[in-house]
Amino acid sequence: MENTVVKIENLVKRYKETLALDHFNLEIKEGEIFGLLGPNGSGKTTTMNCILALLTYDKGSVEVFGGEMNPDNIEAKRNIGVVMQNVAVYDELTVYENIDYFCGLYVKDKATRKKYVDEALDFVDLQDFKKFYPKKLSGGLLRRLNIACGIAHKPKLIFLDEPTVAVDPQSRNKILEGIVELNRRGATIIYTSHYMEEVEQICTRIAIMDKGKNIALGTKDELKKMIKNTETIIIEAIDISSEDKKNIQALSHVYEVHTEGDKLTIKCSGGKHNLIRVLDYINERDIPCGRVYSELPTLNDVFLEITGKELRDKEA
Amino acid sequence: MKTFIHNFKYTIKIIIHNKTQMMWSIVFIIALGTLFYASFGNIYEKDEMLHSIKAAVVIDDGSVKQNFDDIVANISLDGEESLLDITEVSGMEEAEELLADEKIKGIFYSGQGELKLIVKEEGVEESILTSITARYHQAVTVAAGLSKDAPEKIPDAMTMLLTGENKNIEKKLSDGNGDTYIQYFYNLIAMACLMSVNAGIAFAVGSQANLSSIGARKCISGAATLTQTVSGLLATVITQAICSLLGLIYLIIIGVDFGNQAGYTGLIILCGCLTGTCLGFFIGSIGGLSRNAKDVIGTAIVVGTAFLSGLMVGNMRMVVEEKCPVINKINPTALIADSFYSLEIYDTYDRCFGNLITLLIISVLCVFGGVLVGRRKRYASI
Repeated sequence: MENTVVKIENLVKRYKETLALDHFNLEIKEGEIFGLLGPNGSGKTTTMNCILALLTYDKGSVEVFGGEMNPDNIEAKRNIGVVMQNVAVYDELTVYENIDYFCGLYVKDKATRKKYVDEALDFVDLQDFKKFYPKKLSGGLLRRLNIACGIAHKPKLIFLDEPTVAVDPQSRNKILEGIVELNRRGATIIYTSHYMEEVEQICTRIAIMDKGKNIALGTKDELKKMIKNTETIIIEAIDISSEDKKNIQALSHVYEVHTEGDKLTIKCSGGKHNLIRVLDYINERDIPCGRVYSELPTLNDVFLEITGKELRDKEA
Repeated sequence: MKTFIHNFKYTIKIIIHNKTQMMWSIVFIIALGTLFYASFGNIYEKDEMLHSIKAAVVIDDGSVKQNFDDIVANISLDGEESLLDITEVSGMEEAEELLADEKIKGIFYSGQGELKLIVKEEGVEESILTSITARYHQAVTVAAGLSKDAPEKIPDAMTMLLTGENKNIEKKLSDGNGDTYIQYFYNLIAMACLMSVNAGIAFAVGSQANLSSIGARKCISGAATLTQTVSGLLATVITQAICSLLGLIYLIIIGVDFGNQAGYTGLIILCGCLTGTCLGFFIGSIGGLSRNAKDVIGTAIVVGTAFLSGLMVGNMRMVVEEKCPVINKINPTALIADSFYSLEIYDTYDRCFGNLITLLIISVLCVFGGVLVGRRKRYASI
């Protein structure tokens, strides 16, 4: 049976009048890539900081590696790596020196540290930039340095707090591939993000948070099974009468039809060949339309159905 | 120990590469020191320090000359240099020409058994010439009186009057620099040392999770907080002391006399920077204050203590000594400046070491307070 790496019970955290964590419970097993997903302000970072003993909390308990987590639990801290949301490196040190400095707070032996730093540089593909100062690096490279500083000492448990914010797609993919690789090498990952695609792509288990609560927990498939929607069919540039809309809604497994401008969205629950049935109807009636495509439910649909609101800010 | 050395080494590297902080630490002393030196660097030498006074002597009466020469030969500045730089000229015309050209301060004219003094204006040097003339006249009067009543005492009396023999014993505290303006430079270096407060605040803030991401990363790390704190503080103190020493070297190069006790001067600077850094560390460790608020408090302390020590108003420390002497006993800037002063003035090191011990006590209290505040800290918000 897999060991529990992090166990949170009944955690309550208040910021004056605001309830940031509301009797929050969580258990993370060894070897997982665990995703904490939620909109901005849902309590993801607060959860992480409570686990790391950086924040006080009003109620509940936090255990890491089987022991109570507190600022003096050096043994647990030695096995933890953290990649902050904000880049936390020294502008006065080069890329190599930054990684060496933070790695040195964990690894005392110089030769081992040198090996680890070189491996971290290889891992984030920054060997060519090791003599650069952070100010000379692009946003993506800086994020990769931030990651290297957090993982160089080969921790067993790695926290990644929105590591891909403001990163170009190429760097983002590299970062995500790297996280999977770290997990493959044996690290347990706790990944917080409000980018559902990323969480879906890499996480083995996901907790969806809203208003400090854990509103859904499971694998992505388990989460998607929790909701009614199994398929969304979208037809663009369509001119459809209300009678046709009613007829489509009457098709088997269709439970919701709505138009937004000239775009028709049809939501289906269960069943097979839903797209074929809809297309047959449109052809039969000779309804003119543009592009037609089908989407499987996303975590946003899960969040939308549970909370009634979008997971991600419109601009994100 | 390895973590200690690792953190120490990198903290020095980080501070040295922080060019703004380094430049400010050194440039402050250079800029203000140059300004001070330009303003009153030579005042003491020009106005306060006594030099030989140039005067001309016109002899028309040989009987006066002998007594006058005895007086001139026996009045000296420091036992070696004569107070008077006498030029014997042949006539009044030549002497008056020298006086008009301001090449001399006065003319001694001896004629008809009298010594007269002619000066162009009034001033300290002219007053001294007047007093010499008065002494001559006093000697002549005493001699005239004794010739009637006790002629046998004339030789002793004349010796005493003409040679200025003094029965008082002069005891100097030291051979130190008596320049009163040097106090400003002492205060300047003291303030520069105490400006380490800023570095101390920066170090403390850089170690706090609620004030910086790097602080959060360090708090989470596997290194003990105490190890990180002590090694970081030590590195900060050393770099700050080096900056202050460089500033001091600059002052010495431009001509400010800091004496010749380099070892003790370095020790005072080290203690001063230690106190500044530790004070900054304590301020930086106080919870519930923003970085800006901490910087403002630090700057206020630096400027306030420098003011009370006399950097802006020369005699302020004396005023404080009269009104509330305890302030001078705990004011770090005053303690540092007084250490320089006592090192220069007194032959013993008691007062200097007393000040340094007080600085060390303040430092220890600040570190203790800072560690106590930051130990096992969890934050209400980040």
